[in-house]
Amino acid sequence: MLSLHNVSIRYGDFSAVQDFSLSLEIGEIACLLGPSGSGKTSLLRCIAGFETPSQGSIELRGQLVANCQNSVAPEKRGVAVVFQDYALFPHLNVKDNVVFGIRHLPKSVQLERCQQLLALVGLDGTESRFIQSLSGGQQQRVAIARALATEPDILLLDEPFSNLDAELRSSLAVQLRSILKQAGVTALMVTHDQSEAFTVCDTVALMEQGKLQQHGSPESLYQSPANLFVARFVGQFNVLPVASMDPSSQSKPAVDSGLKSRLVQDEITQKGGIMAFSPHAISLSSSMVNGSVDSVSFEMTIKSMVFRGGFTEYTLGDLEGRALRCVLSGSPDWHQGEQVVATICRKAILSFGDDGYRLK
Amino acid sequence: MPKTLPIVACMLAGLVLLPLIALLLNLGHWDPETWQHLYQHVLLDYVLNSLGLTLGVGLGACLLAIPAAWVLTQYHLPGRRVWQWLVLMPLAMPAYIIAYTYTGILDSSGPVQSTIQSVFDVSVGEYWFPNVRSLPGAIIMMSLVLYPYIFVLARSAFSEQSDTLKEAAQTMGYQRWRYFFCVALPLAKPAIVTGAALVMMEALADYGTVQYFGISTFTTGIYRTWFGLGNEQVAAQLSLLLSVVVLVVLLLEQRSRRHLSVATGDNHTRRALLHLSRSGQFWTLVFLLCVVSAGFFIPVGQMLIWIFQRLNSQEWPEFLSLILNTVTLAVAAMLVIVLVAIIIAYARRLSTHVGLKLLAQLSVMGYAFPGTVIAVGAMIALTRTDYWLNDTLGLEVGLLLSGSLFALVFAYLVRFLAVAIHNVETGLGRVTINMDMAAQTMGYSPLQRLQSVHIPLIKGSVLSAMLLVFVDVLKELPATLIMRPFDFNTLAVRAFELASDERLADAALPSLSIVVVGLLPVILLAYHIDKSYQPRRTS
Repeated sequence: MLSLHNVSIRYGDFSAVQDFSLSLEIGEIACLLGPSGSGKTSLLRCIAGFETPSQGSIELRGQLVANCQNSVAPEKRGVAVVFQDYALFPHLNVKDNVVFGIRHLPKSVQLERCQQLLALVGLDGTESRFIQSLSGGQQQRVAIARALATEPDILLLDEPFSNLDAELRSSLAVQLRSILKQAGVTALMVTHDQSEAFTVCDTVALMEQGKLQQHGSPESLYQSPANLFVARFVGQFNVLPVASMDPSSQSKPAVDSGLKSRLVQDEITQKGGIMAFSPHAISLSSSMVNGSVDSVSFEMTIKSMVFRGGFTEYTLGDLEGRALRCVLSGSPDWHQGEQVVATICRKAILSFGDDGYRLK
Repeated sequence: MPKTLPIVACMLAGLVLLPLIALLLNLGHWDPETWQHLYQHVLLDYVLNSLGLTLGVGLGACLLAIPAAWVLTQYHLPGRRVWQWLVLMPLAMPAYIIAYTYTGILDSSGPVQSTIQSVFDVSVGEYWFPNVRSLPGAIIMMSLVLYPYIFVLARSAFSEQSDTLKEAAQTMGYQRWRYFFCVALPLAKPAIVTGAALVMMEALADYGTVQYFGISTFTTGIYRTWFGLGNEQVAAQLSLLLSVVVLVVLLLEQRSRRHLSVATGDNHTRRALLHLSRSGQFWTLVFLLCVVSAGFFIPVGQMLIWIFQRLNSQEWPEFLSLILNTVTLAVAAMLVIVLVAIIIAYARRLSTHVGLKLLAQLSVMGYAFPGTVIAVGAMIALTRTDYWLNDTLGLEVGLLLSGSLFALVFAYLVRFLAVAIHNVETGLGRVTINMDMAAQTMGYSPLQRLQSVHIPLIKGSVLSAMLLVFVDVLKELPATLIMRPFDFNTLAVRAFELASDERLADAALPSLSIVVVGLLPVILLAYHIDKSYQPRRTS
């Protein structure tokens, strides 16, 4: 449905997006996820036709719509956009907003489609209300209905939840997914919020500094991050340089002997590298468990802890300044200042090279 | 969007800057003799009187506006909403009109002194009575009609202050007065300073009041230098000097705004208003009543009395032609100014060109300059253009530009473009760039977007821009006096002329007409304030 081939976007000297490639299947809901300034909105505007790529090309339905020389006008691309501020027209009521883009159709068709769409987004009966009288969540759904009214090939959503209360977001994200799936529309959403991305989308394209880091299902991003950025951003992984565990180092080895022998054979210790593991992969005990070949252990102190209801978050630290974040289910079993041994299952440890890319 | 729009906008903005450029170019022609004369005889008067007037009016207006804004935002008062409308009404009263009305009221043969004379059985000169035609008199007159500028800003500053601030201060032992002086007032200071700066600029710009009271200030000095001494260059240089004073006021205002802090909670709930004691309520109402009566109802009442006294001897045909002249002129100026404002506002929205932005920014400076200064600058610029036209084209058209209504409309454009641009841009701000793009993705051409998105959304703002410009033009005195074509009279000019000839009763009818029309934007403003500051109900 949508393919981007090596797209780059520049504003003067500033390069917003570099060499970005992505393709979406029909009916796929994808997400551009990334911290602010990662170029995701520039890319969305480029797909919509408000920007021109400086390199590369964009195809919709197999048709070239933009490259560095030619750009099809936004209104001729078959895209619809749900804007961050929704861009609803305050002088029109809900119905007139929804049918704004299909004015050329007969009145009866307009009305029918408006009713269908308002039913789809759960706003039946609000046709004659004015935009200002709706809540933020309702406005968002009117914007979606308005965008879907033109029956676009692809729906682009720019941070659709940023104007809403935090409490509303998660329930509205679930609703958004079901609306998009029922409409069967191909959609690309931009967000900086991982939980929104994971709730709404089939696939996630993670961006940083204008570059695609990884594109795949939420599970694949979490379970096999392609690089350290993905591991940190998606899984909040703990990251430890392996050099600091080198047995020959002066500091007191905090790694048990079983692991040392394993690590020696490992590629990382030879080349130097970085290991990363999820905060959920750590278990805490009061003394060293000996003899296990399948795990790594560190002696650490509990620096702080936060009870979050269903689980407790600990921050661990040692004398060498290494810090780990650890999440355990249930209420706190440990106290601040207590000495503990943090053990991580060997299988849960991912190895990365110095360049940040996964070693495999 | 047409490519020519930014170019047209740049040309228009440049045109608006011409009077200022003309003034600056005059700096080169130095005339030591006239300056010597000015320096020895009048310059010190100009400076001292202008400064005294400016500071006095700034202070006086604060003394009226701040208490009024405070009580109307904090306390439960009978008819509170009506009072909020009433305190704005003096805004409709031009200073020169209130000045000569009070002169009539407080004159030795006016109603007040007549009463004193008959009650105490004394005759004129046997008792002390303050002379309203003095600098303190002018300060009081102008404070009475200019305080609403400060009131509006102070009011919104006070009502935006979060109640949690007050509660926090209360827990630390800051009760009413201490809270007001230690927290509320310092927080509202940027808004109050902005209001005071506007008031001071109006005071500096005033010509009618000081001329009528016979006080020598910069504005009367400029007028005298040009028309009395016939010295165009020195008049221009005096104008520049006055502009420097205005710019200093502006700069001070900017500086105070730099420290504008965001001290308001974003989702504060307004607590119920406080209750005053019975005597407190009584004195508060007396205060408000005095302010509003002195600034509006007493002068309006006096004008009505004069009109009824002269009902049979009114020269109605002359009055009708005055109305026709004034309305024609104001409508023409209004259309031109709002059209220019729309062009510049759109160009500024669509173009990111630095030069255009700068020109547009400079073009709205006119509002800061006194009408007299703008008139002098515009007159010089247009006469030069006329000479040039006559010389180079060999045409014998005479004073084509400077002697016609064109000159007047041009001066108004320079002076009031800011008002119009500000309003148009407020409306245009409601049309977000995303709305444009949304309409574009749905296949709307630029013209269709204009028709179905822009016009419906900016209609209201354009109309209020038109109303404000219309009324401002109607009230403007000094620029009209200087620039009008020979024998062309407007309501403001005629009212001023009649009053200057001590025909106060005859001046009442044109004056009251100005006041009545001037009420329109006041009502609009009051309506907006009333709408936006209704206590918000938590949903």
